Amino acid sequence: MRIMQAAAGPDHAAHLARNGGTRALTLAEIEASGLRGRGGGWFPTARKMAAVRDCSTVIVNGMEGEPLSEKDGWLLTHAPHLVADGAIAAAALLGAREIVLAVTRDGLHEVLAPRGVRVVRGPDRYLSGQESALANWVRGGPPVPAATRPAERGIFVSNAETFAHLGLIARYGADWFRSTGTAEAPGTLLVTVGGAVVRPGVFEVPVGSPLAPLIPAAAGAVLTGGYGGAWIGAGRARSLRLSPEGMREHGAVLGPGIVSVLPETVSGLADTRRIVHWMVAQGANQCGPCRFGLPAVAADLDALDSDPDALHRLRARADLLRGRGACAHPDGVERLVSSALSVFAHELRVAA
Amino acid sequence: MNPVIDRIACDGAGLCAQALPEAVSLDEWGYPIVGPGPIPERLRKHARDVENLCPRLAFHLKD
Repeated sequence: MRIMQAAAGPDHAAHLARNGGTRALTLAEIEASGLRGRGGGWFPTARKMAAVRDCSTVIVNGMEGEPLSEKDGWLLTHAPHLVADGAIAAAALLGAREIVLAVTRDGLHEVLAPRGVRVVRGPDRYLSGQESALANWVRGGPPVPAATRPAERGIFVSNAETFAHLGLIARYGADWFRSTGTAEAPGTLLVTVGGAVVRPGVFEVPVGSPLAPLIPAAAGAVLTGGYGGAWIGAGRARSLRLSPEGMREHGAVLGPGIVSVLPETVSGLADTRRIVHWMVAQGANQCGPCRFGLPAVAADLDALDSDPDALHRLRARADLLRGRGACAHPDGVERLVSSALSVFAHELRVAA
Repeated sequence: MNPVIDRIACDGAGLCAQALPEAVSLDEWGYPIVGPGPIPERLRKHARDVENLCPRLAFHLKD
């Protein structure tokens, strides 16, 4: 597959020998390619670039704070120069004078500093990779979401995989990019498959590919999109296609390409409780509805077996998590909880 | 015209809901719930005053 075929490891000469050089990218070509960001939002990349005011900085987001995701780590290990190619092409077209790669591990400075990329090591927290938090931190502020969008500060942030695709578009063009995937979301995507599966790992598939071949035939419920994504029942999971719209139509989330199968021996509600408690601890504590709402939802989840009013309270409180924070953290928890109550309804016990 | 809250600046003082109950209510912790629907025409001028009421300047209006 495309990225995986181009992957040549950390040596730049090997990368060039395998892939040849790039040519300059124009905004029109990126728009024609239909490329959409691979960090979870699937926002059209050309539109995001066009929105940046007086771009001074391109940030490659390699933070990968989503615990179930491994694709960016894979990419930066196996195809760092493809990512750099895309970032350099983007910076040239935007007129940015600085390219920053943000990661949470060591070892990339040696590989990418010679290419003019400043590698910085960010805090290993879930929200540190949220784009306004990352932009804030790169600019010397705290790594928490900000009210101002990076575009308004002259910063273009995008996921590492998005830049990898740009590196390929800079070689093969927009028409080539569109020749696979779907009309609304062209190209391939990297998917992290994990949990109770025979073959865990990172795979590259065309957008719109069926999910079923990636998981065992007898797989149970699936967590799609990560901790801020949605549970899907075993049967429905097998009918899903890995496109942003295709997943959403069926109540699933593609996000940064995560498919995690729940082991048969694990309670879905128990796993959801574990995740929600973790999400509480990862909050930035800046916004009242999240700072108070998330712990309350976690407490209601814990009380489901013992308090007959907990379910009703939980639904009402979860409802109020949507769109009331400065970032999408509370929205993710609402999606996870609502999907859990549906998919694991059989686990709900009504207290006498 | 819809109220837009700067959720980081907002600290739950609640003046917006007090002044504009037709468009803003408060959750159990005192933080604003906006809507449903846009601000009625007859309240638009008053809504502009509410922008100045918020002690954290967290209440804004967007068309």
